[in-house]
Amino acid sequence: MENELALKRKKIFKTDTKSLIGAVVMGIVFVIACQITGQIDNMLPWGKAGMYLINGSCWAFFTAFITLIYKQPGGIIAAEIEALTSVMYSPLWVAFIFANAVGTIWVSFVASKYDMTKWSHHILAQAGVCILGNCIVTVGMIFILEIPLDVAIIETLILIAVNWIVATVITKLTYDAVLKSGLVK
Amino acid sequence: MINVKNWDPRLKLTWCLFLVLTALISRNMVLDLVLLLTILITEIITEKSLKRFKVIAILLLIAGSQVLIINLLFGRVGEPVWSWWILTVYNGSLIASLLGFLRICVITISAIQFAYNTDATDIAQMLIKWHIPYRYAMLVPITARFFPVMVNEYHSICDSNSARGVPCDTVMEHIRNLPAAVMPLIYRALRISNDASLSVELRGFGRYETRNFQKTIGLRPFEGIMILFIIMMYISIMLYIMFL
Repeated sequence: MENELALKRKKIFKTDTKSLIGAVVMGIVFVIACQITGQIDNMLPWGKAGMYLINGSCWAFFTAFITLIYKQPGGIIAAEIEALTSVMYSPLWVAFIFANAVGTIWVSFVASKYDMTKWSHHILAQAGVCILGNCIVTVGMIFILEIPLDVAIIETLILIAVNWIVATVITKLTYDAVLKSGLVK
Repeated sequence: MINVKNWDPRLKLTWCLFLVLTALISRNMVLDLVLLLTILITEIITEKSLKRFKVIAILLLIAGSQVLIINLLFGRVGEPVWSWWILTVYNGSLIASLLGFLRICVITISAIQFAYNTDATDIAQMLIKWHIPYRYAMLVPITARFFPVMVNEYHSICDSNSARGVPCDTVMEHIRNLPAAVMPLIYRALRISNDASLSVELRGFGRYETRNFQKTIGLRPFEGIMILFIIMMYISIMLYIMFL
């Protein structure tokens, strides 16, 4: 009931137990999915060059999807669970702490303005997640991994382009499917 | 063997943050190497082995090789040391790769050391001591509790898919079957979260302002002194890097 009301009123915050626990459980799914896609990317040619296209799309999708379902602080909780657990598979975990937080806050902001029923709403939500998030990760790539600036910028532009398209399509389809299933009202 | 698990989580967090922040501000390979050796020595003193870092060492070598490949192909810093056809290797690229590799080793291994040595309930108590409401602080032990549950759920979904004739063995099969594995996992996660939230509500989660724990944490004098010492050490290193 509270879930329905929150969606109708376009609230940013939802602090009921179901949202908190749900954010934790979905955060773990987020981690598992990112770990699998990261390993897949590592085996592919573009992953060897540091471009995590599948992993980045998965990250952008989950960041937006969890925030749309559980709002805040659920979105930040799930995002930070992913960021802190990513220490097990990525050395850029320090950058992820900020990138994930910024991404989820942006989605909350968009979801508070729009009802997230149209493609344009999801395109706008994913624009912030992909651009802001990837820019922060780029800073991490330059300062932590010591990757040359021009290479980091080109990689980021490719990542943004791919992630934006793929994550928007997946988020819209999955969000609609989950709403249709009735598990989330 | 020293039992670090009984130490206060604030001391362990301060140590971890000291290593991570020092590695982040450092532009010196020797300093990064000293930090890495310090972590390994403390690990040998406390655990008498380095086997906890075996898996992460492989991942770090993969990440390090990626950094090396990118720097060798695209790095243009320093003097050319080797050239073949369109490929020219500069000495600055090698130094940058090594610095990046040492830095990610320090950042990752220090965090892994903290995660292994600190109990999730201790972290929750540390957050409560920092006046974070226990409804939020308790999410840390809940995460630790549900992690193996969700991993098992994922494996059972993969097994179910394999039994239905959709194998999940090779990389291409994993890519092709990712939606088929992740979508059921999302649905199961939603169902599990509904059940879990109902269970914790029935057990009185959030009913009272405070919560009791079987074991409480408290900062002992030597731990407080150690925290101060680590902070002073970090400030000294920062001043050294800034002015010398």
